[in-house]
Amino acid sequence: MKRRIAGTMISGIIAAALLVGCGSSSSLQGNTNTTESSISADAGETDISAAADNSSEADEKTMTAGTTVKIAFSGDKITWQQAVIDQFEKDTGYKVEINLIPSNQDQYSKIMMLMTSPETCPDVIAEDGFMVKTDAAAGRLWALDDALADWEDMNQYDPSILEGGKGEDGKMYGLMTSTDTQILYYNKNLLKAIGIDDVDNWQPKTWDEILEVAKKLKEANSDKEDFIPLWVWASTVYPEETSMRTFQLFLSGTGEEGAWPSQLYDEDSAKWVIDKEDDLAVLNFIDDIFNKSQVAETPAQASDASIWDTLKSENIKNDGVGLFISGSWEMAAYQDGNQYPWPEAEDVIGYASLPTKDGQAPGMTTVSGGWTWAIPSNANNKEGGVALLKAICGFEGSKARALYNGETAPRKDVAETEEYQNQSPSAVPYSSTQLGYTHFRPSVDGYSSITTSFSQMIEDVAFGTSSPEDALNTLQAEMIRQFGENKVEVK
Amino acid sequence: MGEKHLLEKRRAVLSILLMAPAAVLIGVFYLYPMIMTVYYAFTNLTLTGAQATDTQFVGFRNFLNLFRDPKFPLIMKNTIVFLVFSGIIGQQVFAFILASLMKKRNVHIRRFTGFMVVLGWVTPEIIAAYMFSAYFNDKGTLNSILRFFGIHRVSWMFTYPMLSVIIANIWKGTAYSMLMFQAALDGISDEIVESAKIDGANGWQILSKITLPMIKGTTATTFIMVTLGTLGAFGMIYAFTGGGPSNKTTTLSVYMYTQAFGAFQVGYGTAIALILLLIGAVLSGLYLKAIKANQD
Repeated sequence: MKRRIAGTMISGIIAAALLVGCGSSSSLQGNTNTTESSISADAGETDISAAADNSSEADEKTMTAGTTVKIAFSGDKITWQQAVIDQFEKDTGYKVEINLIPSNQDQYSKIMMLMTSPETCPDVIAEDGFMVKTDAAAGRLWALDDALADWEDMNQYDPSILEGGKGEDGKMYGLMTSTDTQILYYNKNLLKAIGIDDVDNWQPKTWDEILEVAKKLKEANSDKEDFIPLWVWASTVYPEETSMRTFQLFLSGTGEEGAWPSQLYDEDSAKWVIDKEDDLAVLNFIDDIFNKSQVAETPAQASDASIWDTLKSENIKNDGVGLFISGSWEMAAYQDGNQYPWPEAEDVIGYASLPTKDGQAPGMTTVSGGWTWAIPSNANNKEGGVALLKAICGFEGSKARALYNGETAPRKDVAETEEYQNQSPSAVPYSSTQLGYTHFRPSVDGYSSITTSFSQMIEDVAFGTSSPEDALNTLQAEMIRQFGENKVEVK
Repeated sequence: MGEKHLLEKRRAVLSILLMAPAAVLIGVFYLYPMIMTVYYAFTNLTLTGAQATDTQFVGFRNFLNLFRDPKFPLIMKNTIVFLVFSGIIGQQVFAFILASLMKKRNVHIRRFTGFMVVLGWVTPEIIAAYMFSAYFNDKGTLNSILRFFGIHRVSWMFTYPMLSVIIANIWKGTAYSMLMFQAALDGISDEIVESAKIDGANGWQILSKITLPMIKGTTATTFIMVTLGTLGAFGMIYAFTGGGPSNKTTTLSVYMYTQAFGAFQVGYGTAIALILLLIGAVLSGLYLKAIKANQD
């Protein structure tokens, strides 16, 4: 009998422990933070920003000693971030806890899930520009306007660039830290070999001209193994690259001048658009370069998750790639001290823009993206988050990022530094000439969920599994499923 | 009489208390998520965007959308092909042949073969996936071997993506069925087989009239386990091909993931999960019924 009672008690204790176990993690987490962070967690949003503004730096240091600020960003950003974070810890006494998210196609959903609960929520996150509107609409992001209102550095930012970090309500949810354009890179040696003389100023006038050049490149280099006449992002392994740098870039080169983004999203009627003529122009070109003429990379190359490292370290250097369309920051990898130093890169690689389809005005096109830093609304330590965000987006932090990454800096003081202006090789000077005709992705909440369908459509056509017409019909069905029949317009 | 009643009551209380931890665990980690799955499948829940906060009940819309999805026929076909060829035929038949061949061999061969096969089973999914993508890669092991024999390289993961995934999954999963069959076959006493031989039964007759009927129970269990495991197989395919190229290896479970976490359509993804659950339940029911009919 006694044994039974003892057994009962033990099982009862275990059951109780299990139940309590579920809830205890939160209280534990709360205790590790010092009083200050619990104050900020309890206080209303406006109070916090006020507190952040009032506290002088000296106070901050004594008050924040040992307090943790949690930051999450994708793994590839650690290289230039670490020094800024170390300095921030030294200056303020905050302890920074870094949560590296693997930088693959899953990173966005992982960050979203981290943000859903205050227990896992970081205080600062790296947020891709195209996610800001949708995460803001979901209530996941905290408006930065008040917290940054008195920050003198704000006047260093170009107001037009800051637009990229705004939500549909016009508030700023992410502070833009970089932007880019898409460039049609070309190999001067190879173009010379096929009879193009003025290789320093080559600029194709139409899509057909690109196709012709790619065909000649293919023929002239048929003896090279794995030669790529024309690289265009075309696999769902690279979803946003394929959606933006291929589908939207080419689509922006269709139609009349100033039509963008009406081929994709009609801002007046707030409807998504299937513009059959323009969409098919893009898809037929993709079909042409991948299947009919076979001048683009093979499907195996297109969906190799590590190919870009191989291309940059070997093929591009060794005349193994004729033309490639990618971000304006690609050349940074070839700078001294970066991944694959190649000081004479610009003797070989030239910069051009994608022409409009038939050369219609303005003749050239490009699209711009960019990243932001944001503070989630569930952040436990918003005050620390704001301090860290200011450090990262400050002069030193922005400069380190721009130089390492080759991105266009949004801060004027960084853009004016000699290091920034004299970096070589760098497509940044060329990129700045493209800003006059650049386009941005449709700034609407649903973009982030439909964008994977754009890349799927490009892949289906490029890999020859769908005809351009079928692929477009699939996209139309997908749009209607996600947004509803009355939110989709077929032209 | 009264004392006995009291004792029974105590015993009942005790049983409930002893079961409580398990019941709580099952409730919290199994029943609750399952109920929520059913609920979310009927909503337009998304991971982000305005719908993430303003989630609405949409009835059967997710299911209708799935059936109308232009990709649905392809995905169902992939799911069935993968299930039948890698799970049911591949793993089961291969495992049975291995187990029967090993039965009469000496202990060293048994141990060595068993070890080699189980090696696949204990290799973590992701590592196996990377291994196979290195093996089937354009410049991978298989093409190097072919090159040695003067055969031009084949783009395995693009020309035969489903076959590549099926081979990988058979390699990975055969050990489980093999171990089950081995144990079952060891349970058949030699005397029965000997006496059948004396009565003039040939190999086929022994297999169909004695061996298979005697391991029926095991067969049913492994069928159910393998079917459910293959239907839910995700990590291997996702890490190996990501469902590509062009959805050629996208099964329902991969589609569920890419919809829920790639396109952030959690409600839709959950509806796909529910369909998967139903298919698994129906198939398991059919197996059990078939076994029962066989026993009567």
